[in-house]
Formats: sequence, structure tokens, C-alpha cells
Amino acid sequence: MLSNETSTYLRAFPRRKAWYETFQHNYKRNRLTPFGTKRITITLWNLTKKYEGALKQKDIIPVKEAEIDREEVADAYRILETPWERNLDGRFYHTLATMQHHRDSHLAAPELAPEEWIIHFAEEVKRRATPLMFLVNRERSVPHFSLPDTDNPVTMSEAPTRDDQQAMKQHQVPFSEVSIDSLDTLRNTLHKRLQGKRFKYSELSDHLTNWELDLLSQMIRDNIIPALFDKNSVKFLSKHKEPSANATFAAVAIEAKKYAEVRRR
Amino acid sequence: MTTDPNAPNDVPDPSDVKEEEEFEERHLLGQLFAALTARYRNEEGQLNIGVKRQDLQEALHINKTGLTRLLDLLRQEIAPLGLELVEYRLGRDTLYCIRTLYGVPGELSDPEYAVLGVIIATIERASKTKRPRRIATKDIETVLVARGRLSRYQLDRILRRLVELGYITRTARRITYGPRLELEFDAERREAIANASTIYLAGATATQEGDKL
Repeated sequence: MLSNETSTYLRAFPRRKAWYETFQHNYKRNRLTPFGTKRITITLWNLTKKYEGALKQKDIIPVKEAEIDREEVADAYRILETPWERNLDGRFYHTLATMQHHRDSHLAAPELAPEEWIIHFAEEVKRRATPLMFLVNRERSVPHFSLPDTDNPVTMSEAPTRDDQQAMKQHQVPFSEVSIDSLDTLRNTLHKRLQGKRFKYSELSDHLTNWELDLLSQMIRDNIIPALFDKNSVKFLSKHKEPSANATFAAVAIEAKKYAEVRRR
Repeated sequence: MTTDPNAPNDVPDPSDVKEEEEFEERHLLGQLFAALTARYRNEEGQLNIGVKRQDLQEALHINKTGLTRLLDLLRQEIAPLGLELVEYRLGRDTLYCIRTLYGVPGELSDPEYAVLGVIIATIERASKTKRPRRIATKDIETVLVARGRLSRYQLDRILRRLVELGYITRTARRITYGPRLELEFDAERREAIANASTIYLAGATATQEGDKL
């Protein structure tokens, strides 16, 4: 509004220039707000509340709407003077920027399925952990100082090795698979082979397999095949002959050398 | 009584004594290591990780300086294995335990780690002035249950397990850090997790986004 001539004129008179500037400022202010700053303040307040509420609910206000809101109060800084009004202006722009950040981060977030989200997020946490170390992954109900002292630790050489266990497992025969009829025939054949013969204990394991030895010990126990035990040898009697009345109780352990499967039917 | 110069000397060699002492010390360090990598639950149901200082002193019949010397020795021995001796306070007691120096997966499963991450991120975002720092269980539910990542039952079971393992302590409605969480994730690591989690915790689900934009 000041013409070129006026400005050159005013340069010589600083105080008058200051007066003109104030005049200009008031003129603009009146043009913007015919009713003072009241209306623009109310608009600012409403918009600030709108964005704060949306942030609290984690809602997203689209860019178009936010841009319209921003334009509406873009010139407000020219007329706002009191600290309260200027603070409100700052608060509005802060919420607007936070909303922008929120929106961007949300758009940038990959659309993961829930399971994937859990796996990816768990990785983020997992690689930052420095876990505590426990030798045993289960807690005791008693503090370790209240426990009695342990004996000397057991050496591993005394425990059964894996080879032993495997051998035992390999030659296990489930007897439920052998029928009773076939068991009888097996007994009879074994009886015929041994009847009336004398064997040394060491030789016996050469003649018989593991399951035959098992069966033999059962038969001796049940007195199906009566036997006479000496110091080094055993004599099998025929079926009908009774053993001598004063036979002493004897137990002989024989380790099988031959391993074979039981014939099944 | 005559003195025989060739008689066997009753006093053992100093080198032998030294070797024996060293052997005993190594034996003691082994026992100490085994004790420090244990945990037990006391009468109040609280998980105690490691051993109390007082218990150690009573068991070893040594004073505080002797114990510190022994623990320093242990610290030197286990450092090359990637382990670290940690001293922490629980209530009135000072406890010692052993933790790994490097990031290795612990005993938790993936969903449990994810829930732990959400708890850390939310607590780190909460105000730093209020102590103890705690959050409402509802805040975690909005992230995990409302977004369909876990069911309410799963979340409840996971939280119960985390309490059992000493990661968090829980009241009716609120969750705070347990002693174990602060041991496994120090302040820097927790902040890093909070920063990394912004992408994961931002916004709503895809369907809601489609409605809005």
C-alpha cells in the first residue's frame, strides 16, 4: 500500500516509518479477522483435538483431509499474539507432524500374516538377548545347599554301553509271537536231542543257541527234563526217570555264543 | 634315639603342596560353576537365579574378600567360553549367576519372544520418571489380540509362562519387568528393541487401512 515515493520519504524519518509499519500490521489483521482472533482460535482448538483423539485411537487421517485442515489455519501465525494462542498453534502443528509420521510408518509397515509377524518380531528380540546359562533347564524346589552330599560320581565304564544295549535289543524275542503248539514241539525236539547225554558246562553253549538255552532253563525249572548237576558237567535224564531224592540245589549260568531267531509258525 | 639321615622326610616337598592346592582350587571352581548355573524356587514362589552371596560364604567357609578372589578367578576361567559372571540384587540379597556374552537363542519359543518384545517396547515408551515402570495388560492386548495375532487364551498362557520363568512380574492388571528380563536385556538392548519395534507395532491391520484410505 505504500507507494515508492512514500518509502523514500519515510527513510529519512525512522519514527514515522515505525508508525506506518504498525498501521500496515493492523490493517492486515483486520482484513483477516473482522471479529478479532476468536474465530481462528476456535478452529485451531477443534482441529488439534481432532488429531489428538485420532492419535490416541491410532486412527489414520488421510493426506487429503490433513492438507485441507492445514490450509485453513496456515495464515493464523500472522495474527496470533498471546502466548496461549501461539502455544495452541504449535500444538496443532505438532499433532499434524505426529500424524504424518504415524501414517508414513504405517504405510511402510509390511503386510505380514500374523504367524510371520510373530516370527519376524521374535527374531528382532532374540538376536538382542544375552540369556542366562543353566546347566539343567528345570528349577528345583529345594535350594542346592540343603541337599545331602553326593557320593563319588559313577564312572561311565561301569554303565552298559550302547553296543551292549543294542545287542540285547536285537536278540529279544517277544514270546507272544510263538504259539503254544509250536512251543511244545520245540520242547520235544530239544528233549530228544539232549536225552540221556552228558555235557560239560562250557560245551553246552557251543551246541545250543540263545533261545534254546532259555527254553532249557525253563524246562529244568519245571522238571520237564530232569537233570543231574556235577561240578563240571550236567547229565540229562529221560523223561520218566526220577532224579535222585537228595539232589542238591544248583544254579549254573551259561552265556550263549550262538544267536538265532526262534522259528515261528 | 638315633637320627638316621637317610630316613624318609615327613615334611612334603613344597612343589607337591602347590600342585595339590591347585588341584583343589580347580575342583572348587568346577563345583562353583555348577552351583551358579542352577535355579530354584523359594517358599514364596519366587524364582532365584544363581546363588546368594551369604549361602556361598557359609558353604565355602570363607569371608567376603576370599569369595571375591575366587569369583574373579572363575570370571577369568569362563571368559574364553563366552560366559560372564553377573552380580545382581534381589530384595536384600546379592546373588551371582552366569550369562552368555553373545546373542544366542534362549529357552523361549517364538511367540513368547514376540510377546516379550511387545512388553519391552511398550514399557520403554511409557514415562521414565515413574518407578516402577509398568504398563497395563490391556495395552498389550490391543497389539496382539485385537489385531488377531494371538488368541486371548494363548496370550494368557504365554504371560503365565513368562512369569514362571521370572521374566516379568504381574499383578491383576499390570505388568512390570522381572529380574531376569533386566539381566538378559540391559538398558541399551531394551532401547534398541523399542526402536526396532516401531515398524511392527505401527498402525492398524490391512483391512482397516483399506477402509480408511
